[in-house]
Amino acid sequence: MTVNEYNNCVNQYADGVFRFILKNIKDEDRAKDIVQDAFEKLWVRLSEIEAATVKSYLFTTAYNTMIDSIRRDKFTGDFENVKDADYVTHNSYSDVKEVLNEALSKLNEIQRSVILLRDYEGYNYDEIGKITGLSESQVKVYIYRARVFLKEYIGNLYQVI
Amino acid sequence: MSIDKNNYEIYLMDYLEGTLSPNEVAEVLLFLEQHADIKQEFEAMQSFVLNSDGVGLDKSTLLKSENDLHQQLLVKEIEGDLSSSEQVVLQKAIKQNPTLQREQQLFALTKATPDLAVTYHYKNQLLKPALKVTWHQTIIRIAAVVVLLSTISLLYIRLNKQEINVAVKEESSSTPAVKNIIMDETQLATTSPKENVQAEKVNPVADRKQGLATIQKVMVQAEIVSTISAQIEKTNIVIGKPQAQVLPVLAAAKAPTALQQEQFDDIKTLVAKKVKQNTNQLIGETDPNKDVTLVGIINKTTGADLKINKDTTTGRINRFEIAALGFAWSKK
Repeated sequence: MTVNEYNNCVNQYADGVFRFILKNIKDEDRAKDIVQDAFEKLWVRLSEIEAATVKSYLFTTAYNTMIDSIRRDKFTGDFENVKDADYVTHNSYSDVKEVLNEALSKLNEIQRSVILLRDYEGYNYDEIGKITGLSESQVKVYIYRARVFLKEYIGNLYQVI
Repeated sequence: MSIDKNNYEIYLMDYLEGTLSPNEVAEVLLFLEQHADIKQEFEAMQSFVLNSDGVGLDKSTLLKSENDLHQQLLVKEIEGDLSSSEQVVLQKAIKQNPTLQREQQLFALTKATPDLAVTYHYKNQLLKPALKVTWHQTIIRIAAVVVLLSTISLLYIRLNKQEINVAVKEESSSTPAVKNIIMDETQLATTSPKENVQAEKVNPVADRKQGLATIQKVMVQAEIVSTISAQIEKTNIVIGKPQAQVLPVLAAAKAPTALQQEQFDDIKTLVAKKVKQNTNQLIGETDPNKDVTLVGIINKTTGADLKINKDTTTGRINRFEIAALGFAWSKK
């Protein structure tokens, strides 16, 4: 890859990677750091990476960094910095999108990641498997379970509303 | 075989397994009644028998219902993985079961869409400056390439010449005259800058084909020089005698394409030396350094091929030449 191609990647993929990470961890600063880290890694390995695979490389790198970050946080939880928003369930929804966002936040990391990669970026099962380190059939199972969970969650809320 | 203290374990195990016949069971029970210690041991063993009742897998988790099948088809529909036959099955199921339509609608709502308003605001920190090439850098690069190509070309030409010279040396080592010429050429190509200029005049074209053609010509010329020289050596050329044997050869050598001027000059020098040498022998002069042509012997010569000049003041010969060939000798 050339410097120009790298800069094109920044303009083309930075938003998508940022949205994907932010949706997962709901922390803008950390999402920013993860995106920056992914692009730094890409810059270091610029000569090794083909332009055709760069998007997948960025999502894979960002996903792995995010998972590491989540695991680290699980061991070093800081209760003082926990945001209320993470633990407060909103009971009023203005539209379906909010309901879906709420439902997505209830998924575990892997299910949420595969759903976001599928819906946001349109990756196929094989590509999602490469990014997340899962087999194609595992990806299918996670997507199936996530869809059923989301459907149940949305359906229950509609019944309540 | 009947039960005794040496084999009772086998009987007891088979009793517990329930594989004994009624007679054998009666025999075992009688044996236990007769041996209280073994009976106690047997009762203790019975208490350790594991009972599997109540332990098992809840198979209900593996069982699938019609509803599960329909859910799977609805998810496949959302993912765009539904085959045409599955499509038919699903449509039929939805017609038969109207609640599936609501399920279908709910699944449609699970499709997440990105919020495009969310963007990464720090792209400038990620962008890297592209390398800018100024016009003078371009010129320097072009100049460097030209210098490099020129150097490579010169090296190639020189290597080519040396290769040709070495090849000719090997092929024509039997001819001293050729050797000398080749040595001269090699020196011209590799020694001083002045000589290099001469070398390029002698062989100005670097092309290998032309180089080989030049070498072939040089070899032919060297052969002519060698032949003529040998003939002159054999011929008794003296002043005052007809030069019938030498003159035709010299005339052939004089042909413009045959020899170079310096080669022809070499032949003329050889003739002059031979004339003096032979004339000395003729008159009995033993001193090889004595130039007999200066002491009046020439006076006896009347050949039409020789043109003799005398110093008008001293009366001595100071120059002679083989007029027809442009051969001349002069006293310094």
